[in-house]
Amino acid sequence: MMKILSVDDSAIMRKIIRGAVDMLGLEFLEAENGQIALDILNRDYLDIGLVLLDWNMPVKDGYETLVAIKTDPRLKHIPVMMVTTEGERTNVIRAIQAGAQHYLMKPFTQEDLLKRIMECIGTTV
Amino acid sequence: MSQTTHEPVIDARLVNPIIAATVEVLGTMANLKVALKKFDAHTDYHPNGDISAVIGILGEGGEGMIAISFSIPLASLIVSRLLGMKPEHLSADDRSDGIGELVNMISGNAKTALSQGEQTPYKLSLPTIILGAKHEIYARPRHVPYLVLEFETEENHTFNVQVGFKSFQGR
Repeated sequence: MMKILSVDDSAIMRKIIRGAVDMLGLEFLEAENGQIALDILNRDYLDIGLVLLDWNMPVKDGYETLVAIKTDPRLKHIPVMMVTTEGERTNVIRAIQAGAQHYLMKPFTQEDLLKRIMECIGTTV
Repeated sequence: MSQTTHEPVIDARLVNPIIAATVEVLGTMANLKVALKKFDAHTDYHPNGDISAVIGILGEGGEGMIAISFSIPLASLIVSRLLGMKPEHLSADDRSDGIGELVNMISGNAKTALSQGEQTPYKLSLPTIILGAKHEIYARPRHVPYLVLEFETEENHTFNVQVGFKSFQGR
């Protein structure tokens, strides 16, 4: 079963995302910062079909994590969707240029989230 | 009337995005309609709530603080709606984390607005949660007027958003 990795320092946001992933019948993985996410990715990269990435996190932020994923030959094929309050235009462009497939701004509806996840994994299923 | 640049003022670019973001975040994420009821400037303000989430904002142009304060029942109602569960099933950790995420989302909009035209975008701190009846918030910037926005829900529950900003211009 495809695994979806949610990376967000907010446990409540991970729970909200988990609700959507559960609705899609996919397996849910979570990490509270980018370093933990990279540890999980290095272990489970063959099964992870999408990474949902917050920007503002302690230890390793979302942009640093995105760059680490997209410059690692084993991980760079995994789609990444930023899910964040970071709306600064230059940062949105930076994330897209670094390889983010989608950029979902908080707040979002569950319908928005489900639609974006489906769009992302639809290209890899 | 003109203002000298070294006087501490509340940056108008912060206020409207915060009002709009508060309405949008609670409407979108918690399906809760809220409206601004009143606002006032304070120099010695104590939040009228049991739980507050505080976030700092810092850039080359100045520093500020945004705080949101709720009663425990209203905080529980809002966070339970975020999660699609009943308030009585909510843990204290969920409630605190949910309020922190709310202030993070609201502040994100303000940060974006404030950063327009700046060479280096403003940065947000991670949210801090303060619990307890009649608690006080001690945060930077100090000795500046704080704008207190009082919002009201459809069920006439109120909560406050507190905004302070100190410009570095003329420092």
